[in-house]
Amino acid sequence: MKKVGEQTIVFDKNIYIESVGTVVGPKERQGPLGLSFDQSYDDLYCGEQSWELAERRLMKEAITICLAKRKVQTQDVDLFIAGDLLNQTVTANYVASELDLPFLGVFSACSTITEAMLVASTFIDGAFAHRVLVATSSHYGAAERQFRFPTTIGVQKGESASWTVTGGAAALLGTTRSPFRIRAATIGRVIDSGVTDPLDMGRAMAPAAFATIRQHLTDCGLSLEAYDVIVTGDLGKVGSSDLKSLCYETGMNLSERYDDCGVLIYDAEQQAFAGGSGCACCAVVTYSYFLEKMRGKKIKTMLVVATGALFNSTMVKQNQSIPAIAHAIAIEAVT
Amino acid sequence: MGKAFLFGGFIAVVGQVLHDMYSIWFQMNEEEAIRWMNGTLIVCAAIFTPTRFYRRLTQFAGAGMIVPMMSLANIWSASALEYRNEGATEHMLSVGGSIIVTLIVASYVAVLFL
Repeated sequence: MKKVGEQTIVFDKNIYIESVGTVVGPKERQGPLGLSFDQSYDDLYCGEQSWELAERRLMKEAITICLAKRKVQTQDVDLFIAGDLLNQTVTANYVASELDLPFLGVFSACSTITEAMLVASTFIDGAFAHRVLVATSSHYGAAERQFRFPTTIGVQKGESASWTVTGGAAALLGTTRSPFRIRAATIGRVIDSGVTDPLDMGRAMAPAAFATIRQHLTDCGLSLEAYDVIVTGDLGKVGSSDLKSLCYETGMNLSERYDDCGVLIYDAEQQAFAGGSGCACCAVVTYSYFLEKMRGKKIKTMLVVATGALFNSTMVKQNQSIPAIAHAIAIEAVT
Repeated sequence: MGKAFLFGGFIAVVGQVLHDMYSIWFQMNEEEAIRWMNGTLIVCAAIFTPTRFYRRLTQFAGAGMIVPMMSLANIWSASALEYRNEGATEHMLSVGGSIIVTLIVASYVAVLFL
Protein backbone atom coordinates (compact mmCIF):
# COMPACT_ATOMS: atom_id res chain seq x y z
CA MET A 1 0.00 0.00 0.00
CA LYS A 2 1.26 3.44 -0.68
CA LYS A 3 0.08 6.92 -0.13
CA VAL A 4 0.08 8.99 -3.27
CA GLY A 5 -0.18 12.74 -3.14
CA GLU A 6 -2.19 14.18 -0.29
CA GLN A 7 -5.25 12.00 0.18
CA THR A 8 -5.00 8.97 -2.06
CA ILE A 9 -4.04 5.37 -1.40
CA VAL A 10 -2.99 3.10 -4.26
CA PHE A 11 -3.23 -0.53 -3.29
CA ASP A 12 -0.28 -2.83 -3.95
CA LYS A 13 -2.19 -6.06 -3.67
CA ASN A 14 -4.91 -7.08 -6.06
CA ILE A 15 -8.05 -6.46 -4.07
CA TYR A 16 -11.21 -7.75 -5.69
CA ILE A 17 -14.90 -7.31 -5.18
CA GLU A 18 -15.55 -11.03 -4.97
CA SER A 19 -19.29 -10.88 -4.64
CA VAL A 20 -22.14 -8.42 -4.12
CA GLY A 21 -25.73 -8.56 -2.92
CA THR A 22 -28.47 -5.97 -3.37
CA VAL A 23 -31.99 -5.84 -1.98
CA VAL A 24 -34.41 -2.97 -2.60
CA GLY A 25 -37.90 -1.77 -1.75
CA PRO A 26 -40.94 -1.36 -4.03
CA LYS A 27 -40.21 2.08 -5.48
CA GLU A 28 -36.66 1.14 -6.48
CA ARG A 29 -37.96 -2.07 -8.05
CA GLN A 30 -40.38 -0.05 -10.20
CA GLY A 31 -37.60 2.31 -11.24
CA PRO A 32 -35.54 2.07 -14.43
CA LEU A 33 -32.90 -0.16 -12.77
CA GLY A 34 -35.48 -2.41 -11.10
CA LEU A 35 -34.46 -5.59 -12.87
CA SER A 36 -30.77 -5.34 -12.05
CA PHE A 37 -31.22 -5.80 -8.28
CA ASP A 38 -30.92 -9.25 -6.73
CA GLN A 39 -34.08 -9.09 -4.69
CA SER A 40 -36.90 -6.71 -3.91
CA TYR A 41 -39.84 -6.30 -1.56
CA ASP A 42 -43.31 -5.21 -2.65
CA ASP A 43 -44.05 -3.70 0.72
CA LEU A 44 -42.08 -0.95 2.45
CA TYR A 45 -42.37 -2.84 5.75
CA CYS A 46 -40.67 -5.93 4.21
CA GLY A 47 -42.84 -8.12 6.45
CA GLU A 48 -41.61 -6.48 9.66
CA GLN A 49 -43.28 -4.43 12.39
CA SER A 50 -41.41 -1.16 11.94
CA TRP A 51 -39.29 0.74 9.42
CA GLU A 52 -36.15 0.10 11.47
CA LEU A 53 -36.70 -3.66 11.55
CA ALA A 54 -37.41 -3.55 7.82
CA GLU A 55 -34.06 -1.85 7.22
CA ARG A 56 -32.31 -4.47 9.32
CA ARG A 57 -33.89 -7.18 7.20
CA LEU A 58 -32.71 -5.45 4.01
CA MET A 59 -29.10 -5.40 5.19
CA LYS A 60 -29.26 -8.99 6.42
CA GLU A 61 -30.76 -10.24 3.15
CA ALA A 62 -28.13 -8.41 1.12
CA ILE A 63 -25.38 -10.09 3.16
CA THR A 64 -26.98 -13.51 2.81
CA ILE A 65 -27.26 -13.11 -0.97
CA CYS A 66 -23.70 -11.77 -1.23
CA LEU A 67 -22.19 -14.71 0.67
CA ALA A 68 -24.40 -17.30 -1.03
CA LYS A 69 -23.34 -16.15 -4.52
CA ARG A 70 -19.73 -16.97 -3.73
CA LYS A 71 -20.64 -19.95 -1.51
CA VAL A 72 -18.73 -18.41 1.38
CA GLN A 73 -19.59 -19.24 4.97
CA THR A 74 -19.73 -16.48 7.58
CA GLN A 75 -16.78 -17.99 9.45
CA ASP A 76 -14.59 -17.61 6.34
CA VAL A 77 -14.89 -13.82 6.67
CA ASP A 78 -12.33 -12.03 8.86
CA LEU A 79 -14.03 -8.73 9.42
CA PHE A 80 -17.39 -7.05 8.99
CA ILE A 81 -17.50 -3.31 8.30
CA ALA A 82 -20.88 -1.65 8.04
CA GLY A 83 -22.82 1.53 8.65
CA ASP A 84 -26.15 3.16 8.01
CA LEU A 85 -28.08 6.37 8.57
CA LEU A 86 -29.98 5.59 11.75
CA ASN A 87 -28.84 7.01 15.09
CA GLN A 88 -25.75 5.25 16.42
CA THR A 89 -25.79 3.12 13.21
CA VAL A 90 -28.15 0.70 14.93
CA THR A 91 -28.96 -1.32 11.83
CA ALA A 92 -25.32 -2.27 11.34
CA ASN A 93 -24.88 -2.96 15.06
CA TYR A 94 -27.83 -5.36 15.24
CA VAL A 95 -26.87 -7.13 12.03
CA ALA A 96 -23.34 -7.52 13.40
CA SER A 97 -24.70 -9.04 16.60
CA GLU A 98 -26.36 -11.75 14.54
CA LEU A 99 -23.36 -12.36 12.28
CA ASP A 100 -20.91 -13.08 15.09
CA LEU A 101 -17.94 -11.54 13.25
CA PRO A 102 -15.36 -8.98 14.37
CA PHE A 103 -17.12 -5.73 13.58
CA LEU A 104 -16.18 -2.14 12.78
CA GLY A 105 -19.03 0.34 12.54
CA VAL A 106 -18.49 3.26 10.20
CA PHE A 107 -20.53 6.36 9.59
CA SER A 108 -20.11 8.78 6.75
CA ALA A 109 -23.77 9.45 5.97
CA CYS A 110 -24.55 8.52 2.37
CA SER A 111 -20.87 7.93 1.53
CA THR A 112 -20.67 5.13 4.11
CA ILE A 113 -20.27 2.46 1.44
CA THR A 114 -17.10 3.95 -0.03
CA GLU A 115 -15.71 4.57 3.44
CA ALA A 116 -16.37 0.94 4.36
CA MET A 117 -14.76 -0.31 1.12
CA LEU A 118 -11.80 2.00 1.61
CA VAL A 119 -11.18 0.76 5.16
CA ALA A 120 -11.72 -2.85 4.10
CA SER A 121 -9.26 -2.54 1.19
CA THR A 122 -6.67 -1.00 3.48
CA PHE A 123 -7.06 -3.91 5.91
CA ILE A 124 -6.65 -6.44 3.11
CA ASP A 125 -3.72 -4.62 1.54
CA GLY A 126 -1.92 -4.57 4.86
CA ALA A 127 -2.68 -8.29 5.35
CA PHE A 128 -4.62 -7.54 8.50
CA ALA A 129 -7.57 -9.38 7.02
CA HIS A 130 -8.03 -11.70 4.05
CA ARG A 131 -11.71 -11.38 3.43
CA VAL A 132 -13.82 -8.45 4.53
CA LEU A 133 -17.57 -8.09 4.31
CA VAL A 134 -18.92 -4.56 3.88
CA ALA A 135 -22.57 -3.60 4.06
CA THR A 136 -24.86 -0.62 4.21
CA SER A 137 -28.56 0.12 4.15
CA SER A 138 -31.12 2.88 4.26
CA HIS A 139 -34.90 2.98 4.46
CA TYR A 140 -37.27 5.69 3.29
CA GLY A 141 -39.56 5.48 6.32
CA ALA A 142 -36.84 5.21 8.94
CA ALA A 143 -34.81 8.08 7.48
CA GLU A 144 -37.83 10.26 6.85
CA ARG A 145 -39.00 10.12 10.43
CA GLN A 146 -35.54 10.47 11.93
CA PHE A 147 -34.40 13.39 9.80
CA ARG A 148 -37.66 15.03 8.75
CA PHE A 149 -41.29 14.32 9.58
CA PRO A 150 -43.56 11.34 10.20
CA THR A 151 -44.07 9.58 6.87
CA THR A 152 -47.78 10.31 6.56
CA ILE A 153 -47.75 13.97 7.56
CA GLY A 154 -48.75 16.52 4.94
CA VAL A 155 -45.68 18.51 3.89
CA GLN A 156 -44.73 20.04 0.59
CA LYS A 157 -41.19 19.49 -0.64
CA GLY A 158 -39.39 21.45 -3.29
CA GLU A 159 -37.73 20.01 -6.37
CA SER A 160 -34.32 20.04 -4.65
CA ALA A 161 -35.44 17.50 -2.02
CA SER A 162 -34.40 13.88 -2.35
CA TRP A 163 -36.09 10.55 -1.76
CA THR A 164 -34.27 8.16 0.58
CA VAL A 165 -33.60 4.87 -1.20
CA THR A 166 -34.98 1.79 0.53
CA GLY A 167 -32.39 -0.90 0.16
CA GLY A 168 -29.52 -2.91 1.50
CA ALA A 169 -26.23 -3.71 -0.17
CA ALA A 170 -23.31 -5.91 0.74
CA ALA A 171 -20.00 -6.73 -0.89
CA LEU A 172 -17.32 -9.26 -0.14
CA LEU A 173 -13.82 -7.91 -0.63
CA GLY A 174 -10.84 -10.22 -0.80
CA THR A 175 -7.86 -11.38 -2.80
CA THR A 176 -9.59 -14.15 -4.77
CA ARG A 177 -9.73 -13.19 -8.41
CA SER A 178 -12.94 -11.69 -9.73
CA PRO A 179 -13.79 -9.35 -12.64
CA PHE A 180 -13.62 -6.22 -10.45
CA ARG A 181 -10.45 -4.89 -8.89
CA ILE A 182 -10.16 -1.98 -6.47
CA ARG A 183 -7.12 -0.02 -7.55
CA ALA A 184 -7.10 3.13 -5.46
CA ALA A 185 -9.10 5.15 -2.98
CA THR A 186 -9.22 8.80 -2.02
CA ILE A 187 -10.22 9.88 1.46
CA GLY A 188 -12.30 13.03 1.36
CA ARG A 189 -12.09 16.16 3.45
CA VAL A 190 -15.15 17.59 5.15
CA ILE A 191 -16.32 20.65 3.28
CA ASP A 192 -18.89 23.07 4.62
CA SER A 193 -20.31 25.21 1.87
CA GLY A 194 -22.76 26.99 4.17
CA VAL A 195 -25.98 25.36 2.96
CA THR A 196 -28.49 25.12 5.83
CA ASP A 197 -31.48 23.57 4.07
CA PRO A 198 -31.70 19.79 4.68
CA LEU A 199 -34.04 19.57 1.69
CA ASP A 200 -31.25 20.78 -0.58
CA MET A 201 -28.51 18.27 0.18
CA GLY A 202 -27.31 17.99 -3.40
CA ARG A 203 -26.16 21.58 -3.31
CA ALA A 204 -24.40 21.02 0.05
CA MET A 205 -22.56 17.93 -1.23
CA ALA A 206 -21.51 19.01 -4.73
CA PRO A 207 -18.42 20.98 -3.55
CA ALA A 208 -17.23 17.95 -1.55
CA ALA A 209 -17.60 15.68 -4.57
CA PHE A 210 -15.75 18.18 -6.71
CA ALA A 211 -12.89 18.50 -4.20
CA THR A 212 -12.46 14.73 -3.96
CA ILE A 213 -12.56 14.16 -7.72
CA ARG A 214 -10.01 16.88 -8.31
CA GLN A 215 -7.78 15.66 -5.50
CA HIS A 216 -7.94 12.11 -6.77
CA LEU A 217 -6.92 13.12 -10.27
CA THR A 218 -4.12 15.36 -8.98
CA ASP A 219 -2.80 12.72 -6.56
CA CYS A 220 -2.77 9.99 -9.19
CA GLY A 221 -1.56 12.30 -11.95
CA LEU A 222 -4.51 11.37 -14.12
CA SER A 223 -6.91 13.29 -16.31
CA LEU A 224 -10.66 12.73 -16.48
CA GLU A 225 -10.16 10.59 -19.58
CA ALA A 226 -8.56 7.90 -17.41
CA TYR A 227 -12.03 6.88 -16.29
CA ASP A 228 -14.80 5.59 -18.50
CA VAL A 229 -17.33 6.81 -16.03
CA ILE A 230 -17.34 8.92 -12.89
CA VAL A 231 -20.21 7.99 -10.61
CA THR A 232 -21.45 10.15 -7.77
CA GLY A 233 -23.62 8.76 -5.00
CA ASP A 234 -26.68 10.88 -4.44
CA LEU A 235 -26.19 14.42 -5.66
CA GLY A 236 -29.51 14.34 -7.47
CA LYS A 237 -30.43 16.62 -10.34
CA VAL A 238 -29.54 19.85 -8.51
CA GLY A 239 -26.22 18.64 -7.08
CA SER A 240 -25.18 17.01 -10.37
CA SER A 241 -25.59 20.21 -12.33
CA ASP A 242 -23.73 22.07 -9.58
CA LEU A 243 -20.87 19.58 -9.81
CA LYS A 244 -20.77 19.80 -13.59
CA SER A 245 -20.52 23.57 -13.49
CA LEU A 246 -17.84 23.45 -10.77
CA CYS A 247 -15.83 21.09 -12.97
CA TYR A 248 -16.46 23.16 -16.06
CA GLU A 249 -15.09 26.26 -14.34
CA THR A 250 -11.80 24.48 -13.75
CA GLY A 251 -11.57 23.20 -17.29
CA MET A 252 -12.81 19.64 -16.70
CA ASN A 253 -15.67 18.52 -18.91
CA LEU A 254 -17.56 15.91 -16.94
CA SER A 255 -20.75 15.63 -18.92
CA GLU A 256 -19.81 12.77 -21.26
CA ARG A 257 -18.47 10.45 -18.61
CA TYR A 258 -20.65 11.25 -15.66
CA ASP A 259 -23.58 9.57 -13.93
CA ASP A 260 -25.30 10.04 -10.60
CA CYS A 261 -26.82 7.04 -8.81
CA GLY A 262 -29.58 9.22 -7.31
CA VAL A 263 -30.66 10.40 -10.75
CA LEU A 264 -30.47 6.91 -12.28
CA ILE A 265 -32.49 5.00 -9.70
CA TYR A 266 -35.88 6.69 -10.21
CA ASP A 267 -37.94 7.66 -13.24
CA ALA A 268 -39.15 11.19 -13.80
CA GLU A 269 -42.73 9.92 -13.25
CA GLN A 270 -41.94 8.47 -9.84
CA GLN A 271 -42.11 11.84 -8.11
CA ALA A 272 -38.79 11.43 -6.33
CA PHE A 273 -37.98 15.15 -6.58
CA ALA A 274 -34.27 15.62 -7.36
CA GLY A 275 -33.55 11.88 -7.09
CA GLY A 276 -32.58 9.18 -4.64
CA SER A 277 -30.38 9.60 -1.58
CA GLY A 278 -29.33 7.56 1.42
CA CYS A 279 -26.57 5.08 2.15
CA ALA A 280 -28.12 2.43 -0.05
CA CYS A 281 -28.43 4.70 -3.09
CA CYS A 282 -24.81 4.64 -4.24
CA ALA A 283 -24.31 1.07 -3.03
CA VAL A 284 -27.20 -0.67 -4.77
CA VAL A 285 -26.73 1.19 -8.05
CA THR A 286 -22.96 0.66 -8.17
CA TYR A 287 -23.15 -3.00 -7.17
CA SER A 288 -25.85 -3.87 -9.64
CA TYR A 289 -25.99 -1.52 -12.60
CA PHE A 290 -22.37 -0.39 -12.88
CA LEU A 291 -20.66 -3.68 -11.98
CA GLU A 292 -22.96 -5.39 -14.48
CA LYS A 293 -21.87 -2.87 -17.12
CA MET A 294 -18.28 -3.61 -16.21
CA ARG A 295 -18.88 -7.34 -16.46
CA GLY A 296 -20.37 -6.75 -19.90
CA LYS A 297 -17.18 -4.86 -20.83
CA LYS A 298 -19.08 -1.66 -21.56
CA ILE A 299 -16.86 0.17 -19.10
CA LYS A 300 -13.34 -0.68 -18.01
CA THR A 301 -12.61 1.84 -15.29
CA MET A 302 -14.81 3.84 -13.00
CA LEU A 303 -14.44 6.23 -10.12
CA VAL A 304 -17.19 5.90 -7.54
CA VAL A 305 -17.52 9.09 -5.53
CA ALA A 306 -20.14 8.61 -2.83
CA THR A 307 -21.19 11.83 -1.15
CA GLY A 308 -22.50 12.30 2.37
CA ALA A 309 -24.25 15.18 4.12
CA LEU A 310 -22.97 15.00 7.69
CA PHE A 311 -25.87 16.61 9.53
CA ASN A 312 -28.39 15.66 12.14
CA SER A 313 -31.79 17.10 12.87
CA THR A 314 -30.68 18.82 16.11
CA MET A 315 -27.99 20.81 14.30
CA VAL A 316 -30.44 21.76 11.56
CA LYS A 317 -32.90 23.04 14.18
CA GLN A 318 -30.07 25.18 15.59
CA ASN A 319 -29.57 26.65 12.10
CA GLN A 320 -26.12 25.17 11.67
CA SER A 321 -24.89 24.62 8.13
CA ILE A 322 -24.52 21.15 6.63
CA PRO A 323 -20.94 19.86 6.22
CA ALA A 324 -20.40 17.31 3.49
CA ILE A 325 -17.84 14.68 2.55
CA ALA A 326 -17.03 12.50 -0.43
CA HIS A 327 -14.83 9.41 -0.57
CA ALA A 328 -13.74 7.96 -3.90
CA ILE A 329 -12.97 4.39 -4.91
CA ALA A 330 -11.42 3.52 -8.27
CA ILE A 331 -12.62 0.20 -9.65
CA GLU A 332 -11.29 -1.43 -12.82
CA ALA A 333 -12.32 -4.43 -14.84
CA VAL A 334 -9.97 -7.41 -14.83
CA THR A 335 -9.87 -9.42 -18.00
CA MET B 1 -49.63 29.51 -5.35
CA GLY B 2 -52.57 29.38 -7.73
CA LYS B 3 -53.03 25.69 -6.96
CA ALA B 4 -52.98 26.38 -3.22
CA PHE B 5 -55.54 29.16 -3.61
CA LEU B 6 -57.91 27.04 -5.70
CA PHE B 7 -57.51 23.91 -3.59
CA GLY B 8 -57.99 25.79 -0.31
CA GLY B 9 -61.10 27.39 -1.82
CA PHE B 10 -62.32 23.98 -2.96
CA ILE B 11 -62.09 22.66 0.61
CA ALA B 12 -64.07 25.66 1.80
CA VAL B 13 -66.73 24.86 -0.83
CA VAL B 14 -66.85 21.25 0.36
CA GLY B 15 -67.28 22.58 3.91
CA GLN B 16 -70.13 24.83 2.82
CA VAL B 17 -71.85 21.97 0.98
CA LEU B 18 -71.56 19.76 4.05
CA HIS B 19 -72.89 22.57 6.23
CA ASP B 20 -75.91 23.11 4.00
CA MET B 21 -76.49 19.38 3.75
CA TYR B 22 -76.56 18.97 7.50
CA SER B 23 -78.82 21.97 8.05
CA ILE B 24 -81.31 21.03 5.31
CA TRP B 25 -81.43 17.23 5.58
CA PHE B 26 -80.96 16.85 9.32
CA GLN B 27 -82.70 20.08 10.38
CA MET B 28 -79.66 21.19 12.39
CA ASN B 29 -79.32 24.73 13.64
CA GLU B 30 -76.36 26.87 12.51
CA GLU B 31 -74.04 25.97 15.38
CA GLU B 32 -74.68 22.24 15.15
CA ALA B 33 -74.22 22.20 11.41
CA ILE B 34 -70.83 23.94 11.70
CA ARG B 35 -69.72 21.49 14.38
CA TRP B 36 -70.72 18.48 12.28
CA MET B 37 -69.11 19.92 9.16
CA ASN B 38 -65.83 20.47 11.01
CA GLY B 39 -66.00 16.99 12.50
CA THR B 40 -66.58 15.42 9.08
CA LEU B 41 -63.60 17.21 7.50
CA ILE B 42 -61.35 16.27 10.43
CA VAL B 43 -62.35 12.61 10.34
CA CYS B 44 -61.80 12.57 6.56
CA ALA B 45 -58.30 14.02 7.02
CA ALA B 46 -57.50 11.35 9.59
CA ILE B 47 -58.84 8.61 7.29
CA PHE B 48 -56.79 9.87 4.34
CA THR B 49 -53.60 10.00 6.43
CA PRO B 50 -52.40 6.36 6.70
CA THR B 51 -52.48 5.70 2.95
CA ARG B 52 -50.30 8.80 2.38
CA PHE B 53 -53.11 10.21 0.24
CA TYR B 54 -53.15 13.33 2.41
CA ARG B 55 -49.39 13.75 1.93
CA ARG B 56 -49.75 13.47 -1.83
CA LEU B 57 -52.52 16.07 -1.78
CA THR B 58 -50.31 18.41 0.25
CA GLN B 59 -47.41 17.94 -2.15
CA PHE B 60 -49.81 19.00 -4.89
CA ALA B 61 -51.70 21.81 -3.18
CA GLY B 62 -49.21 23.14 -0.61
CA ALA B 63 -50.73 25.71 1.71
CA GLY B 64 -54.15 24.88 0.28
CA MET B 65 -53.94 21.69 2.33
CA ILE B 66 -51.84 22.96 5.24
CA VAL B 67 -53.87 26.04 6.21
CA PRO B 68 -57.32 24.42 6.60
CA MET B 69 -57.82 22.93 10.07
CA MET B 70 -57.82 19.42 8.57
CA SER B 71 -54.04 19.51 8.66
CA LEU B 72 -54.22 19.48 12.47
CA ALA B 73 -55.95 16.10 12.32
CA ASN B 74 -53.37 14.95 9.79
CA ILE B 75 -50.42 16.01 11.94
CA TRP B 76 -51.73 14.28 15.05
CA SER B 77 -52.86 11.09 13.39
CA ALA B 78 -49.60 10.92 11.41
CA SER B 79 -47.56 11.28 14.61
CA ALA B 80 -49.65 8.67 16.41
CA LEU B 81 -49.24 6.27 13.50
CA GLU B 82 -45.52 6.87 13.12
CA TYR B 83 -44.69 6.33 16.77
CA ARG B 84 -47.12 3.50 17.50
CA ASN B 85 -44.23 1.15 18.29
CA GLU B 86 -42.63 3.57 20.76
CA GLY B 87 -45.86 4.75 22.44
CA ALA B 88 -48.39 6.71 20.40
CA THR B 89 -49.68 8.83 23.30
CA GLU B 90 -46.20 9.97 24.31
CA HIS B 91 -45.23 11.11 20.84
CA MET B 92 -48.57 12.16 19.42
CA LEU B 93 -47.96 15.82 20.17
CA SER B 94 -44.24 15.84 19.34
CA VAL B 95 -44.88 17.56 16.01
CA GLY B 96 -48.26 19.23 16.58
CA GLY B 97 -47.78 20.15 20.25
CA SER B 98 -46.71 23.67 19.43
CA ILE B 99 -50.14 24.30 17.92
CA ILE B 100 -51.82 23.54 21.27
CA VAL B 101 -49.41 25.80 23.13
CA THR B 102 -50.07 28.63 20.68
CA LEU B 103 -53.84 28.13 20.96
CA ILE B 104 -53.81 28.20 24.76
CA VAL B 105 -51.58 31.27 24.98
CA ALA B 106 -53.56 33.08 22.26
CA SER B 107 -56.91 32.35 23.89
CA TYR B 108 -55.56 33.48 27.28
CA VAL B 109 -54.42 36.78 25.77
CA ALA B 110 -57.72 37.14 23.92
CA VAL B 111 -59.70 36.61 27.14
CA LEU B 112 -57.86 39.55 28.75
CA PHE B 113 -59.32 41.92 26.16
CA LEU B 114 -62.83 40.53 25.98
